[in-house]
This record gives sequence, structure tokens and C-alpha cells, in this order.
Amino acid sequence: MSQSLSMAGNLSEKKESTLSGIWLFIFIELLLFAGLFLLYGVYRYKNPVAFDLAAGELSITSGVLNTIIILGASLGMAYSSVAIRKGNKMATLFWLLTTLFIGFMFLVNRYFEWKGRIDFGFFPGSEELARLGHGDVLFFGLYFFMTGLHAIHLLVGFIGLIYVTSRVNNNSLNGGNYALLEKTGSYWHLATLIWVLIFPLFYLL
Amino acid sequence: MDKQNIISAKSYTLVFIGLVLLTLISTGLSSLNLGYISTIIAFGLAIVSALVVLSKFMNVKLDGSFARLLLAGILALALLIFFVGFVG
Repeated sequence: MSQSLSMAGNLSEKKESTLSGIWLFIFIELLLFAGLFLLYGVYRYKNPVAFDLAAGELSITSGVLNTIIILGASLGMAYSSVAIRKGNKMATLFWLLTTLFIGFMFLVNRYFEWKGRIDFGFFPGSEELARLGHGDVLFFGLYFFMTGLHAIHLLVGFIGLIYVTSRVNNNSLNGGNYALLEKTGSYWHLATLIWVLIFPLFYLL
Repeated sequence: MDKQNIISAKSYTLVFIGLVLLTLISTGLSSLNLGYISTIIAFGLAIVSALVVLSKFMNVKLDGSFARLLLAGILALALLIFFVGFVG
């Protein structure tokens, strides 16, 4: 039991040696996005006016909505981990499926947001962007790449969650053996963490 | 079982409400046009939210040495972006 708890991220001094691979992976993921954040910072510095105007083309409402949706998905994931610790299989399944549904809603909202931009002609390689200039090309290039990469992470999280749901359903994950659910949960929360950091870059600044 | 490591469903709900409030506050403040202070506020609140997600949802103990490394990395990055954005 103590080992599965330490895998859930309890990194206190004496359990440090049981640092699990998922944390190394999460750290590398953060580094990947860190590079993109840096790229954004440099490009914004070089094209402050264009970035300012281009950000005005994005809907703040849609961004806030998506933030609340993905926070809700993390909450569902947390509920499912509480449920499996209590050994409540039905509640675990319910919250895992709810989490999948809420995560899907995020992607639906992402789709409509992208569709809106593309309908206006703001997509990489479009004539409209070429007309607006270099700064807008950079902004929307980064916007589509970073939100797209984030969406891909959610899709990978979907695959993980569906696998975990099937394992919970056939009882191979239960109240005494839930490390896999915790690890998948950590990855799922990572998507939330990254979104919380991406959100102000494109919608608030 | 070590009960201390289990966060209750109720406290997760409170964490969620807190994070939603942080999002709404930072959105509200960003519409005020405070110049470079807006940038500080938006990034500051985003980092607070990120730390809450790390410590509550991902259950990272923020006093472990690995977590400290992570924290230092995030802060260094935030400072870099901030200075680059701020000078612009």
C-alpha cells in the first residue's frame, strides 16, 4: 500500500527513491510546453502590437468556458480516485465516465472555437493572415499549435481513461490496487495544469 | 491505510470552486487595461492556479525536492516570459 501511495505523488523525503516514471514524463511534458511558452514570449516581444490585436480576435468567453470545463474534468477525475479508495466500483465508473464526457465537451468547444477562426480566414497559410502581416501569422500559428498540442494530450488522456475504465469494470483495478488510476489521473490533471497556463497567454493578454 | 493522504471529495469540490473563482477574477481584472500590471496579474494568478492543481489535484507535496525543482523551473520560466513580455 505504501508503494501505491508514493506513486500517487507523495514525494516526501523517505519515499523519494520510489519516484515513478510518470513524474519524469510529466516533467518532460512541462519542459516541452515551457519551450513553447518561451517562443510565445519572444515573438510577442518582437511583435507587441500585432499580438495585441490578434488576441482580440479570440473569444474570451469561449476561453473562460473551456477553463471551467477542464477544471470540472479534473474534479470528476479526483472524485473517481476518492471513490476507488473507498472501494466503491459503481461510483468510480460513474465519475470516470463523467470525466470522459466533460473532457469531450472541452474538445467540442475547442472545435467550435477553431471553426470560428478558420471561417474568418485566420488559419496558418491563409490569405487573410498573409495580408495582416507577420505578427498575426506568428500569433495564430502558435495559437493553433499550442491549443492543438494540448488537445492531442487530452485525446491521449481519453485513451488512458477508457483503458482504466475497462480495468475498473472487470475488477482488475479496485480499492486495493489503484496505482494505475492515480497515474492516469496525474496525466489528466497535467492537461489541466497546462491549460491553466496557456489560457492567459491567448485570451487575457 | 494512511488516512492523511486521502483528500475528501468535499475538499476537492472546494478546490474546484477556488480555481473557477481564480479564473473569473483574472479574466475580470484583465479587462481593466492596467498596462503592464495586467500582465503581472494574469501570470501571477495563472501560476497560483497551476500550483493549486499541482498540490491538490496531482497531490505533489510542495516541500519535496523534486517538487521544488519543478517549482523553480516554472517560476524561472514565468519570470523569463514576464521580462520578455514586459520589456515589449
